Amino acid sequence: MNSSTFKISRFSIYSLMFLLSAKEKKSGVTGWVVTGSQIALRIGIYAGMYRVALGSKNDLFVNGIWAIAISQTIFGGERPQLSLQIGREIKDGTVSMYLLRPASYLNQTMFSYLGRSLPSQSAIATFGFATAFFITGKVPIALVNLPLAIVLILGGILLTEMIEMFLGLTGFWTNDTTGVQLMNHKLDLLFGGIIIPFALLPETIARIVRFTPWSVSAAQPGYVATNFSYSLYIEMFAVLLAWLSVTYFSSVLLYKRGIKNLTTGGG
Amino acid sequence: MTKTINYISLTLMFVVAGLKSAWQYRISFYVAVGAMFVNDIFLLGIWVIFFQRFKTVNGWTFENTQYLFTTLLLAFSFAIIFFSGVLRIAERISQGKVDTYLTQPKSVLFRLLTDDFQLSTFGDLLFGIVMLFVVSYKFGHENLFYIPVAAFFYAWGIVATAGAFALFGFWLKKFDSAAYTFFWTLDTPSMYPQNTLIGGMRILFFTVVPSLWYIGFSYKFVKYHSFSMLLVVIAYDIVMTLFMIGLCRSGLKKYESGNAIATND
Repeated sequence: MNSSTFKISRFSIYSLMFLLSAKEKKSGVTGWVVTGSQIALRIGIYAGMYRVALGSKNDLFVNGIWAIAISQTIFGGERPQLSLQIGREIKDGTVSMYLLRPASYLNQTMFSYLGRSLPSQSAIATFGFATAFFITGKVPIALVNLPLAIVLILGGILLTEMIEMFLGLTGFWTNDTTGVQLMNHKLDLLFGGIIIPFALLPETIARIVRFTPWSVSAAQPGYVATNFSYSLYIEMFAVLLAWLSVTYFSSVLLYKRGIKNLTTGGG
Repeated sequence: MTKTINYISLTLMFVVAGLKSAWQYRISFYVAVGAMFVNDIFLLGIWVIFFQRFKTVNGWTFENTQYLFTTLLLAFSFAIIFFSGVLRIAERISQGKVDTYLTQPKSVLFRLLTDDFQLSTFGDLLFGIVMLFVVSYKFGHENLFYIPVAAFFYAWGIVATAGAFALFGFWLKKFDSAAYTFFWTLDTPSMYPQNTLIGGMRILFFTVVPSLWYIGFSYKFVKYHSFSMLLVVIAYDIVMTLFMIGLCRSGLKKYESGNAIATND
């Protein structure tokens, strides 16, 4: 088997993990509808707030509601979050089982988590975008820019989970990753455009948080999609790639160091 | 009466036992409680930022949000500290774990509601108490009475409504994820300006997701010191509790421990 075949087959393994996890997680129509409806209600509440504050004809209102729907989709990964799952697997020693397998623990965990998140994220996207359209009556993303916007959204989802993975790996040195997960969750709420879209943040705060990983992963894809320009897109895409590289290589480094502390069957 | 006192003292004993068990691991104890405390500070931070941008939303100011947030924190912590099992009722039914409670002398519903412990909620309680003193200092000492009273009946509403919904797990397969999401959906209007919940949205939160009965009226009791508003919350709590008990009784007739096998198809 030459090296390129090996790489392709390894990628196939991860793709299979993604698909199998998505299939396994499929929790029935009720769960899918309840998840989607929850987001629809949330967006409805935010729309009520911003309609009063801005007026429903205002572009800031229309773009803001769509940006929130996009941020909610990015943020809507499966519970428990990846950082909690990894922290738990380190604590109970499950991570040691992966040492015997040919594929990387980090990639396996990431792909299967992304697969498990697919049903809930598809529910949030379907209900969220439908609600945004119902409320605003328009789609503020040009069709020609849509593929580029989707790439940025997928990149945002990946970065959100990379951050979770990085935080989870701190479990090699801490007893519990719940604390860091909670902080990350709230930073996402604060700067990720989940409640307050980036365009509606006070100017000084917006300037400070714009390039932080929470804003780049969850808020900027929605902001760029609804305020599209090629220069803005290229700038954010470059920053996204930079954060993806930083979080991935930091995670690999943490894992390599952490695994040395691992006692088989222990944690 | 003696039976009620027995149940209350047993509930308190479960919480004390949970605390003692958590106290064995001091660092984890401090981290869990401290992290939730800081988490709540961040949550309040969202509204500080929001009201920096929009000074008022149709007359709703940061002062109103502080009332609402403090009541929510105390209510949520009361509900989850004493009845954290409410979050896992549907999961337990789906996995056939109700069997355990059927052999116990106390009510099955009571055990379903109390058989869990969430330490981090003490962080919410702690921050809620801090906020209670801040709000009372800033807006009037009478809040030291109104907010905890409202929070108590609000908490009762959370447990009764979420508990009743989760019990539909006796009839619906794979309902645990839906019940968990519903719990957090109930919580949705609890942080936002109440005067922006109008029209269809308001109807939804009084019917399909009926949390405005205890969120909205508790807030009005705190803000306007209106006891008639509190009576509405109490009436809702009683009706929903009776509904929950009824659901549990008929659900148990349908329940078989083999449910676990049926849901793993």
